[in-house]
Amino acid sequence: MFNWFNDQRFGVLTVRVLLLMAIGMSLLPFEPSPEAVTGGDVTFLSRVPQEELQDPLVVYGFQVVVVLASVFWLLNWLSPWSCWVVVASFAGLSALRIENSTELCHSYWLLWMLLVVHALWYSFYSSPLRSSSPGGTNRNYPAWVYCLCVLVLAWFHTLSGIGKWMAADPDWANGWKWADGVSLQMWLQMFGNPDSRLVRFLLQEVDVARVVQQAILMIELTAILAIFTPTLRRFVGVALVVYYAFFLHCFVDWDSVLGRWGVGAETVELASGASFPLMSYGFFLFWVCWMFFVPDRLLGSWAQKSPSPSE
Amino acid sequence: MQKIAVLLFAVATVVVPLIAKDVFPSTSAARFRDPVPSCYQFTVFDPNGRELDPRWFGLHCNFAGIPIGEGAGRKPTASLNSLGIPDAKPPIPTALQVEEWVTERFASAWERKGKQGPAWKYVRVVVTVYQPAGRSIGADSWQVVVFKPAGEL
Repeated sequence: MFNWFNDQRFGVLTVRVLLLMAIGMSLLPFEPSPEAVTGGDVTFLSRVPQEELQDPLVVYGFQVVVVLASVFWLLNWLSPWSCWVVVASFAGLSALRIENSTELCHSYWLLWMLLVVHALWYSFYSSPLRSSSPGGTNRNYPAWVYCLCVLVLAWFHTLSGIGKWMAADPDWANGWKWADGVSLQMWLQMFGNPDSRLVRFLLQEVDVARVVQQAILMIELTAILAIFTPTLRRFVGVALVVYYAFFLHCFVDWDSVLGRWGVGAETVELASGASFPLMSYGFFLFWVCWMFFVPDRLLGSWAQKSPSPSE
Repeated sequence: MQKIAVLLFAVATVVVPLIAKDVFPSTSAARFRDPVPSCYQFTVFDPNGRELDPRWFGLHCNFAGIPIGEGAGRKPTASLNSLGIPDAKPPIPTALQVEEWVTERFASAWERKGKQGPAWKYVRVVVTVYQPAGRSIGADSWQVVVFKPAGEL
């Protein structure tokens, strides 16, 4: 019987979920931006003429390539070449979206990095992965693949913490100033869910808001510890789940998005507007749950030496 | 070969974002990075008290917790609300600035609304400023009435 939680299949399922996310993100609607260019380099395509960056045909082309190559990878056809085509085309499509965006979006980076890790896996283990069958023997999810994924996720959060620390004090001396409580109150005032009792409480109590903000900074800065031991990984995982639960609770007006009395036209419009932030938060939360709480026994070689490509 | 690739990838994952910041494929993951000591928002009403979209008048807030002007290829739509723009001074516009700004955009706002119904004789802009007040956040509001510019609409 097919069992998803067979230890050797964790990696294959991870790849499938990643590819479905890549297809979903690549199919998001695209509109060339009428706004003025910022002028600086924001992607590796920034030096390409603007007409090309705004050409819907170029975007459609990238979308087609991402979807087709992802299907090839899902079916394990032409791997590892199909894997690298996904990596390259998803990078190109993400860059085009960023070039036409007025706001930084880091969701693309995370998904792209995880795709690169798994493309490396398919490159070094293409023969075993192609020849494997449900009863095969060469279906280990190598420890290095898993460790790199955790590194990417953990470093992403630590980077965010370092950025906050530096913004509060460029001399590195006292980045705790970032966590003054007032900033969190302002963000909650501007973007918070007004129906949330927690939001209303935090807006009234700057001292509690300060503690929450300090906890957020601490969680982000220490996320990198997840790469050292499975125990630390789970501690960081729990902290990040709480962190994302806090954001999803405080910054999403669920009543409006889901509709108090069912799904009407306004609800659809609201959900459409909130879909990208929601997707991003959901995306990060999913990967934290997925990667940080994997029992060791589900990983083919977490506690063992990675099999060499020839094995 | 495999070990070299893994090592290179791990080093690049850590080092590249520190150097390249927000040049994709790199990110500084800058969300809610810059502390906000105070904030403000504009609400616009027509003569009948109906709320209008502040975006029509360039009074919307571009700031969504992510630093403006970093890691994105396009500048956000011009707005009098400079929240989130580094070193924006003065942070809160004066009544005269609001009046001048809205007057300039009165006709284009009417066009963006679709020119439906009677033309506005004036619009009322309520400016709400949020600042720390003891342990909580205090709101201070004032309003500017901006009349239709002569000869327009």
